[in-house]
Amino acid sequence: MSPTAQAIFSSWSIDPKLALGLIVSALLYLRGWRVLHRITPRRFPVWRLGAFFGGLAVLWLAIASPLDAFSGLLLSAHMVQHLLLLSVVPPLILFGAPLLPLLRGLPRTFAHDGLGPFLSWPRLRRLGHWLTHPVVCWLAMAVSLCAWHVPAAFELALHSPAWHRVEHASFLGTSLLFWWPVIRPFPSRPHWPLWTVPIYLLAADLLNTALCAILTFSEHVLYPTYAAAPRLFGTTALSDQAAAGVIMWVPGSLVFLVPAIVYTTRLLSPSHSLAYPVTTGAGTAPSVPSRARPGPIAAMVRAPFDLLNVPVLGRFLRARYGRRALQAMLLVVAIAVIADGLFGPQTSSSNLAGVLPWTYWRALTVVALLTAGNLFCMACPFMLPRELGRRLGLEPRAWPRALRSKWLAVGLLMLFFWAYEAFGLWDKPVGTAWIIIGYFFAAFLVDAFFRGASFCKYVCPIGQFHFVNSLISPLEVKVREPDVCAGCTTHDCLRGNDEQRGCETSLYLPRKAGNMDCTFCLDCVKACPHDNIGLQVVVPGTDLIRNPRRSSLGRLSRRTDVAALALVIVFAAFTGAAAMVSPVTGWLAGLTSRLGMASPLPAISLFFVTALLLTPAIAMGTAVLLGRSAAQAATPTRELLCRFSLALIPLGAAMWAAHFLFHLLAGYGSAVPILQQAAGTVGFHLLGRPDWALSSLRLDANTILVLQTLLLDAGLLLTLYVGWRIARECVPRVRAALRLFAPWACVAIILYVVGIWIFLQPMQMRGMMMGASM
Amino acid sequence: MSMNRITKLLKTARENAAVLSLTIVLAMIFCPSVVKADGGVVRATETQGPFIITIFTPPEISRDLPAEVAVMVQRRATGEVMMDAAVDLSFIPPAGATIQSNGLSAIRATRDRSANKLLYGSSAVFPSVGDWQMRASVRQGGENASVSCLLPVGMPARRLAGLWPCLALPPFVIALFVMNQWLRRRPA
Repeated sequence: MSPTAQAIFSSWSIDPKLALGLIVSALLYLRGWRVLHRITPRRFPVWRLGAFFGGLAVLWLAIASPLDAFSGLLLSAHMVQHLLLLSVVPPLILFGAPLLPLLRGLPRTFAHDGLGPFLSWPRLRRLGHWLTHPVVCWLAMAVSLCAWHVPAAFELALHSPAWHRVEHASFLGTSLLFWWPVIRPFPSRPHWPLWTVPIYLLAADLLNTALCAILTFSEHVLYPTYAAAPRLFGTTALSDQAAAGVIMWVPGSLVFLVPAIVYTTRLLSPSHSLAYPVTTGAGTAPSVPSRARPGPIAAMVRAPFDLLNVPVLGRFLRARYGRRALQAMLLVVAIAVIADGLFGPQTSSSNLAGVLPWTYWRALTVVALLTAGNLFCMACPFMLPRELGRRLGLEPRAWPRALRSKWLAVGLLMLFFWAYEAFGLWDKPVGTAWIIIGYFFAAFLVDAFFRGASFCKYVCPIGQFHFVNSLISPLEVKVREPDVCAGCTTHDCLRGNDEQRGCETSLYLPRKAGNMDCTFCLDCVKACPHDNIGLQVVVPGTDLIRNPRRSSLGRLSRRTDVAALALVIVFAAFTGAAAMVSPVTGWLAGLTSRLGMASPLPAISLFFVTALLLTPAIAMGTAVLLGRSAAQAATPTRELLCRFSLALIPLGAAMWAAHFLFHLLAGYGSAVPILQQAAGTVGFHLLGRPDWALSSLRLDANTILVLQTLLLDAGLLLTLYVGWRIARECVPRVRAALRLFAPWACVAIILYVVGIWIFLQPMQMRGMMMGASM
Repeated sequence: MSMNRITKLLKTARENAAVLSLTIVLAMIFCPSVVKADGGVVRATETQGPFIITIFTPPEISRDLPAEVAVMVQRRATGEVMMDAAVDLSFIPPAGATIQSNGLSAIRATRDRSANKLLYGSSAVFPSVGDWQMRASVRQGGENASVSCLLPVGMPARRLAGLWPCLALPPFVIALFVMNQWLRRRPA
């Protein structure tokens, strides 16, 4: 292949957002199609899957292939791109009859409760009926085709990316409409009889021919951009324009004429009626089975996804030493961090203790919490000393009754958040190493002297952070079939048996709800003799709406300590991020000098006390009291305070994720050279010499900002939804619920605005090699 | 799922087939960059020595934001695109502005950095507003040529303004939710 041809064929532009959109569409379709194919294989044969996927593939080809790269230079390339969008993608997608598979592919709750009310709205049905009328469909395509080929409009699209998007979207949208009455995707109903289709197609071909003739036979270049473009492959602007006209004319006409001939042939066949058609999958009444068919129907009933049923991963997690392997891996990492922190270079950006815990570990665990569950506690290396402590043969006692709450953890967490900022822990590798050593020691001491997992349940600040945020995780350790537990008398999940201990945080699985206090240790899974416990998918956030009596916890609406823990974690997300942006650091420095202090410690302490203690207490107290009084709600204030505090967790988790991901994505390559350096220090040169250039690998600032904002959007929306559902549960009348909800919603929205403001400020790049702000 | 539910699903789907399918597909299309725009605009085309040199840039260039600058080099005699030239870009700031030490004095443009592999491309960040002068110098087989053009660099949209689609998302979803609740409460 010549270098020029090679260059042309390698001019692909891979857009991750386009790829993501197409992949999500394909997966949703596939998910729904699989179920429908099992039930009605004749209605949803394999070719429909192929057609839909083919449509997506051609869309990808039109947008990301060299066609796009050359469409600004050659009108003929641009015309091929338009032809694909107008005449190939829409029929293929409609042949896939995408409606039912996509609807079935969506999460059931969303399809039923979210889309359901819209689908049964008569106005929307009337709109759909009107939109798919053949006259409307034909005119829509005709107007779009003609209008965009007017030189002024075409030039506008060539010079403005936004208008170019509108042009392509209108081509694709109107041609989907155009092909609707021709393909009649199942389960739509046709407006006109079949004999009208050839006429409909021929009329479109006439219009297309007229347009093509203008392009092909014009004696001057219609679109000035192409007159100014460099000439490629020996063409002139005029010959390129004529070629574009021919492309639009010949293949474009074939696209109309071939189906017109097919329809005419079918109409002329003696067995065909000229009335409304009865075609395979087009416009026919759905063939719902007239009597129950247990086999296929059973296929529609899906058990929730269970991670433990995934072939290799599930087996690994359930294996006796599966968890130990994960813990051992993190133990090795912890030892490396400690060693480098104590003996390595004391510059945080070039030390494992400066980068791995504060940049990588924090971001990855929060991502794990939001996409899976409490995976850190599952692999926690700090639990290993507990086993060691138990072998000492001490007589462990019960954890003191006075400390059986989350208050100690609340205090420790506040202390940690304050100390992190006050002493710049991120910038002290040796300090980080000592914190990790101290953590191992504390875990050993507590669990050597006290029964169960007292350290995890009552002391560990990291564990509490994970417990709280895992309340919105999509995975939960839960019972598969409640009926099986009803007949169980041994309760091995709690008590354990000869081979396997039971739950160390005293969670009795049949009465366990949500992930609070669950370390994902899977001891219960291994202990259950009925194999009735799984790691199942749940709808994130639903656990915050419910208020059941939970095993070992009681009702969370009565747990002021849990509410305080949630509030500290939520407000610390905003406080910690704010403490890193220039306006706040400048303000703290100004306050320090106004107070005449040499150290910034008092100013930072004041900031943290105000932000973590006073602000949440005042904001939540005022919002709940105002709302309760306005709604004249009978629910006790404490219960409202607790439930609405927990409802803020999604927003807090989103802020943590946005903050930590910012640091990770702004220098995701940093760990490699640091690891190379640390390995070299101990004489292990297999990783090579430190390649510090990798430290500059980063996602661009605008992409990170969009990602952060989208995360916070999702957090706000989930928080508001949870809050609204709680309000409706407490006060049945809508207006009263709105009054109860409104003041609290204002707190959530203010937090969201603060988050956006923080994202827009220059932020310190702590522990990163570039050291500047971004 | 009971038979009634399947029947209901099919009935609802049939009645809303058009609107739903269009909504789904259009939502896919309107995803911000699903339909991306083409390259850039031609800033200059000149025949210099044995070359025809064309300079492309985005329609709008904003201060402090990366702009893709691309150059096409063709042989004057045949119009053939040249794939083995060395292309250097240099920039002269508008009067009163200076180039910082890490700035734009000279950049090598390569085919790897361009989406269209027939062009030599590079990314440039312009630190000040005004008319910048850009010069593309081409060398190939002992022959040299250069072309200059003016690049108008404007003020960037404020970061907040660029975020509006993300910021509009919560109010939009809330409006849909309110409508959803209203429809659910509506008598059948």
